[in-house]
Amino acid sequence: MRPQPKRAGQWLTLILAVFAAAIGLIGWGYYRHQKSMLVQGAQTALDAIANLKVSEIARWRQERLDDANLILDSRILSSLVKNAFDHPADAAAQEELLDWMAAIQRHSHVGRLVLVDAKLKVRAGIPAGEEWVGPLGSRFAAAALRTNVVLISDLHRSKVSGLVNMDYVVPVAAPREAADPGAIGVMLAEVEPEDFLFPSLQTWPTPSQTGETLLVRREGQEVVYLNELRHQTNTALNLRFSLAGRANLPAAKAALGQTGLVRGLDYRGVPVLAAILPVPDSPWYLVAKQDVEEVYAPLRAQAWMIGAMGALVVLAMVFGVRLLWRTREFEFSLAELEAQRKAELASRASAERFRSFTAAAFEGISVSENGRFVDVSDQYAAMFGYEPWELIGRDIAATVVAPSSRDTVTQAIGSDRETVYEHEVMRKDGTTFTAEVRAKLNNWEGRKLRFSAIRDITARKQAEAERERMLEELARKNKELESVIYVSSHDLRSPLVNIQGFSHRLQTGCAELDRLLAPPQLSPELRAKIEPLLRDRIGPALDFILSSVLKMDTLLSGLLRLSRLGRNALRIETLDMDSLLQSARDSMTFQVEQAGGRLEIGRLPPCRGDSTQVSQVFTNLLDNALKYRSPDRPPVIRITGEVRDGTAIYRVADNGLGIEGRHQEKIWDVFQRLDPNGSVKGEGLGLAIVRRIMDRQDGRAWVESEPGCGSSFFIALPAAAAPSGKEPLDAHRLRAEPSTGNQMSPSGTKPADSICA
Amino acid sequence: MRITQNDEEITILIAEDDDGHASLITSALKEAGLLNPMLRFRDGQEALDFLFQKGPGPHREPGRSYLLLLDIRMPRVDGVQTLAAIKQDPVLKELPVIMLTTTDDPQEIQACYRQGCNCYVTKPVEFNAFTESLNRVGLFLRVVRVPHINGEPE
Repeated sequence: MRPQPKRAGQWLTLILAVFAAAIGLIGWGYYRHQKSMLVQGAQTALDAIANLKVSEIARWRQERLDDANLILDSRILSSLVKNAFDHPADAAAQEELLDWMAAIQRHSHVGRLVLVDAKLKVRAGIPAGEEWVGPLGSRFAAAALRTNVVLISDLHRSKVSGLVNMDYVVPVAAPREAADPGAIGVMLAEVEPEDFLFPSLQTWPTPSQTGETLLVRREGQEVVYLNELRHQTNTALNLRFSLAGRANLPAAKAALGQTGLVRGLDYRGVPVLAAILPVPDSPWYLVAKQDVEEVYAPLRAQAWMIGAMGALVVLAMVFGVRLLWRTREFEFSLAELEAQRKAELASRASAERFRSFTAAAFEGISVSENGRFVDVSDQYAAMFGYEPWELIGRDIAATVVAPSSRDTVTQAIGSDRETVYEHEVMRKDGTTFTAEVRAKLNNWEGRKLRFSAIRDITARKQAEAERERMLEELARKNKELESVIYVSSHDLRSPLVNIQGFSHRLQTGCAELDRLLAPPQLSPELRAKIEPLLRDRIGPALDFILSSVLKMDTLLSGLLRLSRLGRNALRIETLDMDSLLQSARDSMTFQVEQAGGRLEIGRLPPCRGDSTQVSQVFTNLLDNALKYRSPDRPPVIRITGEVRDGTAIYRVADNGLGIEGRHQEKIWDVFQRLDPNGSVKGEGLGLAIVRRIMDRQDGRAWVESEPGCGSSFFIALPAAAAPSGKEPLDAHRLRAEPSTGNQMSPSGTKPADSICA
Repeated sequence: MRITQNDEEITILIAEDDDGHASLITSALKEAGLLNPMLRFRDGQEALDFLFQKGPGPHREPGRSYLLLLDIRMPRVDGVQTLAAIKQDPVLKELPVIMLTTTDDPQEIQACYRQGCNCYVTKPVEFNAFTESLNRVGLFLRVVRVPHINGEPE
């Protein structure tokens, strides 16, 4: 369970991160949106303000122009002026003029009114004391006289007063009836922008801290600020910038003819939004601007709020997740506790089972760690004469192992030996006995434990020793017997030679006697007495003696051969049965032919055995098969072989006389012959030899037979891997393999060519 | 007839402990017509005494040819030991020896051959086997006298 939370945790962290990023993105998106909204709003406002102001200024200008035109068109003024000019001494005319001028000045938002005549001489002025005309005014007046139209001088700073003003220069037309239609004088109306223009410009309709309006005009390569600014004093007509140098200046942009909404750095170097509009019918440009910072100001607060909220959300999420996590971990640990409890119960139950197992076992069981007892079964302790608690914690080798075996045991424990071994063990009282031990290692909760079972094998050892002794005695007796047989058969031979030899001599002697009796010299009575003695008594007696001798000789030869089998050392090797049987067949070719028979040998599996003796076995069996053939049919002998469970089983099957059931065990005995008086010759040792050989080689020989049909003799020997290149054959393959002339008959069926079905 | 070597008569030595066997052998040979002188020893020791010209009994005459029929089993000194002694002697090792055995035990025969005898005859001694072994020891019958019908020498 443990690793899972970690991975889930990683996943969650990832999700959280993604979420936070998403929130961040959204917030940022919102922020930007708001920003652009604000900008847009500001721009709209600026645009509106600019438009408003421009219309105001335009209207103001128009009004002024109207005022000027009024003067221009005023006949009354013309006649008054004419009058005043013509009668300079007439105080009433002057006064009338001045009154009128004062009235104009009062109602026309004019600051100063100055009247000059056609010679540009100042004739009147309102207010009193301000009857002067600056150089600019003079120039304009002259121009007005010439052109006879209203001229407006743009805002300028008067060299005389130092103030900023605009002049409307209106030519005074001559009265209608005058002969000269040209202007008789020029009225200069000095408009002070402080009166309306500047205040108008300076007021900002919205409660803005940075919004201001600029009125600028281009003068060559410069832009001139025409009004007093909000953020800087004494700027009217003083503040000017080079157009090339301050491309970013909205005022410069305006001067260059750009209109509409712009961004730039204002005269303070502060980023601003501006709306530029040209004032129609004037060289003026109006710039309504606001600090970008102010525009974004609400956003700032918002941004903070958004950020704070976002952070809050993320925090809340993290917190929530952690809480969830804790809960989960808590659940985990609950589950773990539960699992632990279950495990403990299980382990306790298992310990109980362990106790029961060990108590039920025949052997003593012990559990040890690093050569010391951790736990022992009651049997174990009892085996050594201890109480279980006495052994726990004690060193094994020092406590229960006999001194003679301590090294072995220590080494076995140290090398984690798990194979069975024996050693001497020691009881509490110091007595020792032999035990058999087997161990198994087990890693339990990081501890390397050694479980071992121990068995008292004293009885077994004794039995084994007894058996050894018996086997030795058996072998010895066997040897004795064999030598007895050998010696006796050998020594018995010697007298046989004499018996045989002298019998023979006797025979020849008799023959000689017989011959001597032939001539008629002997008396008939004597002859009649001698002849029967010779022919009927001596002769036959000798014949019997000789035949018995022959038999004895044969028997002894057989015995000798039999005993020789036990004396010869066995050389067990892997035998190529095919070639072995081939040799046997070759040596029997003559006999087989003589019997008019047929010998068929199938493919035989290899086996382990002594070559000479196994050859002898088969020779004997073949011999028997031919000897005991049926007179009714030509003998057919088939030799086959197969491997079953690691044993090679060969079968010599014939179609001969067969053997009756009651004889089938006796045939293996020494000197047993089926038909001692019959036509078959032999000593009756063949099968005894076969059995002897098989016994010596851990093999088996047995027979299956049906009288009248034939017999099958089976030889079983340990199977071997094939000698050089041949594969081990098995029954299945044998059955499946047909080959001409070498028909295999699966065991159990009768050979062909027999009368048996 | 006699078997001769280089026109010289060969004396046949028979070392055989059993009287019966010895009698049979001599009779067999005589009846087959062999007229060579035959000497009989009862055991290996007597034979060796004769051959090495020791002891009280008769001694070998130098210059004469002999053929030894040696039984394997004899008391005191048996056939194998006798054969060994003969073959080890530089003079006597040329003596043709035919071993007599009662058995066709291959181990016994191997023992004979190992000792250096070239042939053996199985008892009872039969004339055909005897002549064959004679051939093997290289005693060719160079002169065969036609035996008188009574077996008397010509």
